[in-house]
Amino acid sequence: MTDLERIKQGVIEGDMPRVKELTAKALTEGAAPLALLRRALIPAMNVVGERMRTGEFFVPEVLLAARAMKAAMEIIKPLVLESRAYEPTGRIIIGTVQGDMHDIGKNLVVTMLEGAGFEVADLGVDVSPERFVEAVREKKPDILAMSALLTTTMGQMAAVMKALSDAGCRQRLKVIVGGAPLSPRFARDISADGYAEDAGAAAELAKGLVASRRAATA
Amino acid sequence: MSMTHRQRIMAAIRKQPADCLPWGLRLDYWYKAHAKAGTLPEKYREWSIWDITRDTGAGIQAHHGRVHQEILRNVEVVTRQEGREKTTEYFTPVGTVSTKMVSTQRLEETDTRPYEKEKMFKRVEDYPVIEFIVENTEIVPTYDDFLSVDRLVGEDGVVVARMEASPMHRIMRNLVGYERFVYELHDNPDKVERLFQVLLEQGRKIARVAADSPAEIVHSDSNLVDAIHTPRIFEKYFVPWFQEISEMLHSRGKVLQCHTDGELRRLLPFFPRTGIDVAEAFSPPPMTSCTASDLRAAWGDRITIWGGIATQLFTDSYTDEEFDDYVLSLFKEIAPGYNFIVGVGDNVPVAAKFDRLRRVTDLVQRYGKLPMMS
Repeated sequence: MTDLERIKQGVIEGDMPRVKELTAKALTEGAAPLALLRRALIPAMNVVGERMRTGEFFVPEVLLAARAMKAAMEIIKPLVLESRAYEPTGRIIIGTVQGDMHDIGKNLVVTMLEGAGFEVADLGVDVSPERFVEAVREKKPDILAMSALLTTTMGQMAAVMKALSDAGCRQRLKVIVGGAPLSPRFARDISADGYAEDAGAAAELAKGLVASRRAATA
Repeated sequence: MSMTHRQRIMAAIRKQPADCLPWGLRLDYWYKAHAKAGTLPEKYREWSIWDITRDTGAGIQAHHGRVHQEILRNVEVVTRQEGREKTTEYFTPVGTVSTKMVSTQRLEETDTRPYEKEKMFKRVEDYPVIEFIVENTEIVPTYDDFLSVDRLVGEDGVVVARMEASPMHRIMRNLVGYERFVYELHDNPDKVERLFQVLLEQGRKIARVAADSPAEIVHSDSNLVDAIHTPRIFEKYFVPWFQEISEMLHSRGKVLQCHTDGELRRLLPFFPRTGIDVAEAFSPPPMTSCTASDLRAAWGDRITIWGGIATQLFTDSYTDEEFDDYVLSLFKEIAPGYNFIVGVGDNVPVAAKFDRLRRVTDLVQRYGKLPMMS
């Protein structure tokens, strides 16, 4: 097994100390940071996402894998950013809507998106429509992702959609939503571009939307 | 003479015959939000939640709260309010821990409880402090409020007494937080296990108080989700707890209810071993993936199901015709209808089309005579 394979396996197993050690060793021995990212870390999280999708992995396994990946990323990120060849899978802004303080689901989505190579700007919880619009204007993301856990706050998503339209930000932006009381039907009702029922599905949805957008503009 | 709502609901829970499908409504989220905002429908402006529920034609499902009180000994508690943030510090001889609750304008408008921004557990050194607090908490029965609500509800429904969540759920959700819990269970399993044992002992004291209370239905735990609570964790920490307290409650003539509003598919096989009598707030699609048939296939008639109409169906995303079809389809699915209580999974949304609650009553009256035909 090569070092890259060992790092990948370590991430899948959620073995943070081993992943940190192997990553540092691989870099010392001349491994390219981008290769570590593309051939070990992202493929590892793809496996984790797939195992979550098939029911083999649960949230604990995903969190432990993500922690191991983040530990490796802390080591290689400064080096990766120096590389001009680096291009993230896509750029995403994410937040829990105004009035809603729940972040477990959102944080899991962030984990899976980062694991899929996305650059994620997490606005946190209780995010107002104005703050979403401001962040979209500033960061020009491919996708805006919104989360809500409460039936009392899911209506805020429609307010964000209106604010995006009013601000002229909607056309070039894909919007995806998720959260326990939501449904594909609700997503359609508010004219979102997609709904994901869990974190793994959110990452797959985001990858699909970015790919189709890039194909359309190619 | 027809049965009362209470008789029907209790018949379903105790696996006894009833004249009609019970319909039990928990209206507190909807009521609190509208009462706080001053947006109750004109007709209901001066009405109590119980009278509004009666007016829908549904039976009342009153979640009264606890039948025990917790009194801290040897711990100094200092609270500090700064804007919408409330910090509480617990000073003990073995160290200090704190929590931080935060509200928002929207949460205040809807009278929703604040969110715990900072859990009590933040670092490994907090374990002994939390254990000290738990071990120095006296559990005292307090039944007067329960009896008062029970008198107000009368034969028009049931009043549910709430216990604490199960010990491991208290660690996961209340004390440590789900994400940090995963790391703690992985990195410090012995410390988690020790805290679990301390909470288990306290949980037994609380269960004994509930078992001796005037309540017929005792509620423990909620918001279980298979992706987080996982079959491995559920089987190791939750099933034995439920077994123990259900035996204790059953021996005193009580029943155990669990608020099953989350995605449960991968936990379903474990439920028949728990001794849980009522799976309340059952939330079928589009809320979760589990249908009533899924639950019946996994549980048989052993556990009474309460719920079946997903929250979203009460919003204007669905037409009245779609709503009727959904409810009638549920009736067909659960026929002949025994051991089932119609309810909302998991709550009536603030923006509910309120007339649909009366629509359920109408459909129950027209089609809910037991045994129902599939």
